[in-house]
Amino acid sequence: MELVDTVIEGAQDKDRREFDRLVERYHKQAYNVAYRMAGNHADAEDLTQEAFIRAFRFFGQYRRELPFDSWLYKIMSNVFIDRLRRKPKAKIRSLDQPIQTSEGEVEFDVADPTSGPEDAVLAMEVDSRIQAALDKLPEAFRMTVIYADIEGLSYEEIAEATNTNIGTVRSRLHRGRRLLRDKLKKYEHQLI
Amino acid sequence: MNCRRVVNLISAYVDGELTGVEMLDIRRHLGECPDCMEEYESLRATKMMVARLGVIAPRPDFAANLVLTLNQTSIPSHQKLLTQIYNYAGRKLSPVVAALAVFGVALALLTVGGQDKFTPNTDVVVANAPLSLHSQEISFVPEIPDNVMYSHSRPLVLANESAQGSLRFAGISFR
Repeated sequence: MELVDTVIEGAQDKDRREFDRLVERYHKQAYNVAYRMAGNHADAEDLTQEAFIRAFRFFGQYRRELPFDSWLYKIMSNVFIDRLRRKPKAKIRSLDQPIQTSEGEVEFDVADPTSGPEDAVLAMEVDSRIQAALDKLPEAFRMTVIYADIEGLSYEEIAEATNTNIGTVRSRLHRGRRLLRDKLKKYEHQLI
Repeated sequence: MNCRRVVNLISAYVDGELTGVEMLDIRRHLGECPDCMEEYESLRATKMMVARLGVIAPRPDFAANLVLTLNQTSIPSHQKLLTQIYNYAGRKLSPVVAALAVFGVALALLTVGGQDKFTPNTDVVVANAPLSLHSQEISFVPEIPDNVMYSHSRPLVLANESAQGSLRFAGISFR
């Protein structure tokens, strides 16, 4: 009996060491995807952490012939959708939508990136505008666009990660990109 | 290929996710149709904008904290069992059967865990049956007039539908 326990514990230690190495290797990549999905650091941390914890709990079922990041994205997509279902719907304001004040309607003020003296500031502004547009996409479209355009996954890999089929991926990506284009049209000359 | 069809496929064209024939057809169409070409250019630009987004890094201690959290994460014993079944079935059978086996065991565990003790409240009335046989099951005995004769070659069972919608039979033959 002691021998059996030792063998099991040895296997668990081996799995754990392997998992720690995977955390080290993939956490930055996973965090970046989580941030683009969630739109802020606090939620990105929660999302990444929860995805790794679930992956750890099911690590015994991970088939080593598959890339770990694809498997992790599948888990992360589920965590993301689960959290959205639990979370009360956030009120999202469009940048184009006027704000109602006591003095009437005013336009939402967005800093003009051309006024920034540094390139880094400009890059941050551009980044935040694209992120704001991403945040406004329906979640399924957002995930699909992020997996395709940031992570460069194939339609087949996206279908696997989001539990759907290639036809749906193709449709979500097309509609997601068109929505994104329309939202960013106003800033096109600054963004391209 | 008409414009409507091209526009529907244009995002997949940008990604190179079409068959060779479709790619060639769309390329040919774009060369002849400025409107579709404009659509293609704008979607390609949108893809490039997203692709060029900067990489957002976590806090420097994020990975270390994650490993610490994992140290405190215990895997429940039922999950270890499911994993062992999954791996065993996966080696011997196909991944689909393995997944089904795990699903079945998980369902069984949930069923056993969540099952309440349940005694069906059935109203079973058996005409002319010895009451002592079913005294615990009979909750209502109708008054049967003395002048009514029951003659059946098959078991005579008067049963009310229970609250759960099932029908109970006493399973006793009467002549």
